[in-house]
Amino acid sequence: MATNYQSYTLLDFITDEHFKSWVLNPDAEQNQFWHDWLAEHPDKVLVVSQAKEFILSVHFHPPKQTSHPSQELRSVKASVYEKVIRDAQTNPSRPEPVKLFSTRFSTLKIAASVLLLCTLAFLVYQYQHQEAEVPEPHQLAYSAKTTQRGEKLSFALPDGSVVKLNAESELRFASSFESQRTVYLKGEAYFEVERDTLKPFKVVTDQLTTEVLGTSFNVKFSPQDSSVQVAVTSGKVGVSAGRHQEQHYLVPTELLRYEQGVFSKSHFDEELLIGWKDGIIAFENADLDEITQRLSNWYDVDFEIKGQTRVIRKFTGKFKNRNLRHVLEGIGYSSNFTSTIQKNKVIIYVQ
Amino acid sequence: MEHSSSLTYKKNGSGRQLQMHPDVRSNTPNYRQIFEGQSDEEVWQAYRAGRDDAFSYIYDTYFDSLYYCGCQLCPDTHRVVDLLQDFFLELRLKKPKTDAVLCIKAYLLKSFRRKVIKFLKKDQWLIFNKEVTEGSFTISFHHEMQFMKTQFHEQQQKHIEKMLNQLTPREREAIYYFYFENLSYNNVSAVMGLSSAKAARNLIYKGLSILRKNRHQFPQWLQYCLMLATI
Repeated sequence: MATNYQSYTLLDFITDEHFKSWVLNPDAEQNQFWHDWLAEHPDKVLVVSQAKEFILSVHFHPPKQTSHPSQELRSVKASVYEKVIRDAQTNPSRPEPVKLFSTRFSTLKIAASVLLLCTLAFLVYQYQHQEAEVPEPHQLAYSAKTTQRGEKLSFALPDGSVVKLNAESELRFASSFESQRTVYLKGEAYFEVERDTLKPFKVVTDQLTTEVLGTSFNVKFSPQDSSVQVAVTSGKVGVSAGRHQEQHYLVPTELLRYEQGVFSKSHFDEELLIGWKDGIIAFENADLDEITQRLSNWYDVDFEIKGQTRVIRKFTGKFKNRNLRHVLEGIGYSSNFTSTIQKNKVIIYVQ
Repeated sequence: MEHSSSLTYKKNGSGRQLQMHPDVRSNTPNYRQIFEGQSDEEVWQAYRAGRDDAFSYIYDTYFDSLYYCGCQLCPDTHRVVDLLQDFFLELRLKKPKTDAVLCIKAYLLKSFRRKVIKFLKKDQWLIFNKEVTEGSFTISFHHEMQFMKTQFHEQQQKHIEKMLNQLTPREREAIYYFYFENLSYNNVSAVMGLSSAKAARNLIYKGLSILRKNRHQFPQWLQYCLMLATI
């Protein structure tokens, strides 16, 4: 105890190991030392008594719910002791399991490693297998809705979500959405999804999975070139090309295109792209090819073109709930052609 | 003071343990006499050699410390008791590899603390439950010995208490082991997994230096101090 206590401040005393030890657990030797020391340094009497009192005044509150006041704690202590002794007897000294492991490269270790590898391999296999299984589930009962050319369909799914299926499309889904909400789409559909944060709603199209919690969005999958378009009108949508692939998030007015493994994002015109759900057919700078393709799909007709198609001007405009004759007249007036309708056939005369 | 309710931990001179339960004593009447004067190292050797009375002595001596420490870390006291039962059963069944233990209390606190924290981590909600970390190691500051003239009047005591509870939970935990459990810096660092005794000292010193920074808050005894210093 040769420490130079003379220069000690209150804080120094409080944090001095020996001093604290003496205050909390005094013994004769230390008592003598401090008695002598204080007699030599009367100016330190105050600070020492303060330090002493500080150390003795620090208490700790048990958490509020403590249910064992000292009296009760004694019986807890005794009962735990009995249980420990009893359990130790019914479970007589396990033959030191520690030793088995401490032997280097024991058979147990090797066995454990092999087991671990096997488990890992199995898990990896299962993991990959699961992913492959997702698009082709067999176990559940499935319903399918299909539309022909010129046909549109609006219906509700088992969870209350509303689907509008565009022409020449197919949507397959489980008759029950109890375990998951997954639908399989070919063609184009507009979804208004009921919110269920526990079960995400998934639209599977060939290589892409579009995942949402509760939003409205349009998915268009063209099997010919296996391109996919996802357009969002409300909420947030995640799109990924596989379970372990990066998710692309979309917010309203955003459009994601997926073509030959490449994603591209842009904004879209709602009427132009998904006006179909409200009976709007809209064109923007559409050439004759696009016009005939859209109209044949919409009205279930075939086209025959007579004359030079190159002279036809591109068309921009929209029609809402109009019949084919009206639409053809409108476009023809602007793009400079005439047409006649014969049953399911439209003949266009380019002037 | 309201703090001195029955729930506040009492410091009873040197040994802050509660008196052992008569039942425990009657089962093994001699162990306290046998081991009382022995060093921790000797008691540990006896326990490692498989002596039941050494185990009973360790149980009796350190149960309360472990219980109180566990309650600071985990607010569910029933869970703490369950963990303690597990802990002592393990201690009874398989002897730890550590053969030289200089301070049994620190050794047990260290292993039991680890066990409690492991449990808390498993039950993740407890960690994110704010009350747990905020409430652990709450300090109350008051002098129990009524007959002694106190150096800090009530106002100052309240202020010190407030300052101490503004410390980080780690600092308060270190203070807990240092003052309440009377561990050395070396053992505080061992229990809390700090790098060295110096780290433990720094933690406590840094924490308590708020007392110095706020000196102007207790002018009365500072004045005495200055007066005496000048004399």
